Amino acid sequence: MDAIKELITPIQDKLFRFALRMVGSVEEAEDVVQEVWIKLWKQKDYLDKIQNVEAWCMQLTRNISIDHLRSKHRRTEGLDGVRQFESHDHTPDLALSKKDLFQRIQHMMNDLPEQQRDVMHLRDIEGYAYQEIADMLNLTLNQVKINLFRARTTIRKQIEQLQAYDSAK
Amino acid sequence: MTAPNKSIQELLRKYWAGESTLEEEQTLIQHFGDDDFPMEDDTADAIYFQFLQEARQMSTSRDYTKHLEQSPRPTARRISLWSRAAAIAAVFIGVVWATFHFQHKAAQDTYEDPMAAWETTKAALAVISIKMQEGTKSMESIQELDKLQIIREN
Repeated sequence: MDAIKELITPIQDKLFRFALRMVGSVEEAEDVVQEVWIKLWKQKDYLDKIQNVEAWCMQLTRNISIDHLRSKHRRTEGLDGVRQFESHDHTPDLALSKKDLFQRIQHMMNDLPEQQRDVMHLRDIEGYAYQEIADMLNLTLNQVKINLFRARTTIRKQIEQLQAYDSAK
Repeated sequence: MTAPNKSIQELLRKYWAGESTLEEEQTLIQHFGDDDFPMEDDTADAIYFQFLQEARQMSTSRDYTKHLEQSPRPTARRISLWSRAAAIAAVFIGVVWATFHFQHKAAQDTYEDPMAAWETTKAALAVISIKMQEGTKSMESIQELDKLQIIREN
């Protein structure tokens, strides 16, 4: 148990944030991380055969999150769609506080195409190297760079638009 | 609003062009996320890097080990595999036994009196024989036609 704890405790926040980015709810993200723990626990005799346990855990988190999204989609099909985040109900009259701005950026990131969103999260929030991201997402190095560039460009444009709108009021 | 210094400007250029290293990206986050960073300088860049800094601090509070101890251990899984194998074997034996049992019973139940069975068999064979004769009759007429054709050709 201690060996597993040593392995996963330092990265469990990373796993949680990645799951949260994908499934969009804290409770569900924690369920995903719980499943990762259980899988790791069951595989404990074979962990020494895994080259990069952290990357493997991130891959596992991604796969389990996708499974959660699929089953959630089946449950909510025809209702509100797959991912529900806080509503975009800010009235234009209200000046955007920093918290509001951060929430908006969060939404912008979540609305990116899946690969761009995952690459951006793993690089800009978790600080992984390009090659690590490529291994985690089964992409080429070039695909990682292109996705990251596109994601950053989109987010920057949207923040500028948001700021221009806010200062024009 | 004050313009960021040259080195930060250069780092920003590299970042948005996708050419920055992890260390350079960390420098940008630290620069814009600094508590002393002036509020009036909150450009799109500053807001973005402050967001990243905040996003990096998000954490989970659940105690995962608590749930883990309740989850089945690997040895328990092995036992469950043996149980599954035993269950499959039991079902297989059951199916084989049921098949033999019912086949045997079905054969026994048809006729209890051997003479009655013999009479029924004879009647069945007679019906088959009549049907077979019908087939032979039609063959005979075809053979007659063949003979006629042979005579014409000669």
